[in-house]
Amino acid sequence: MGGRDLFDIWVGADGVLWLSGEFDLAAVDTFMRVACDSIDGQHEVVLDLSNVRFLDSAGVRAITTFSNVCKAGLVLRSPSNKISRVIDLVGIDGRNGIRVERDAAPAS
Amino acid sequence: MQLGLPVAVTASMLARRALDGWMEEVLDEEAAAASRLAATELVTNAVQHSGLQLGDEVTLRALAMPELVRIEVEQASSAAGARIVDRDDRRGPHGGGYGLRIVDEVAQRWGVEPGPPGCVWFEIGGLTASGT
Repeated sequence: MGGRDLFDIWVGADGVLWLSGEFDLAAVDTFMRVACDSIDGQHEVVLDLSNVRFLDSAGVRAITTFSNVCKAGLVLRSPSNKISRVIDLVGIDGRNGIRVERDAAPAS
Repeated sequence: MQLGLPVAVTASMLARRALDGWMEEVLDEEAAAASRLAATELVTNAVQHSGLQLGDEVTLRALAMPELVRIEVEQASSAAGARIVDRDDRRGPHGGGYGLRIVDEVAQRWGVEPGPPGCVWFEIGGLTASGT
């Protein structure tokens, strides 16, 4: 298993939550712990997905659960084409305060 | 290809790793990406909703057929409860319902053999020349 497939999440200096690797069921607990600890409840939260290589329904479900505590909104930033497709399939853009910001020419 | 997977949160990752090696020779890139996503959903459903316990296993099977591949996930318990949840009816105890909707969107066909043992399967085209 390549290291870039392992899920990771860290908080940038600007408060952006950077995610990488495969966001599946095995990643949910780590995501929820770090993400919920990082927010103040006052500002819009940004998840940068540009380095997420795989997303499944368990990851989507974790994002929608997390959106419940993001009272000022949740932005999903820069998903790749593959990740965008999953987001579109489940139709979470515009639901529950979630907004997707896609790059003009997203990477595949 | 047949593989026993532990009932654990890592099961879908193990399934993807096994399929990646197998699909490389069989499916084109788009079909392989769709298959690894759909297989992940079936394995995760089995892990979360089959009623099996830690230490039990589910079985992943991948078969190359004349014009498509068929991927099956079998569990010792019944799979009769596997169904798509309406988009506006996802507030159940698990807040889920996305998984089989994704399978429905990316696979050509899918179905449930209730069992027990229960089996949920899907079929998808996109075979490479060496896969036909």
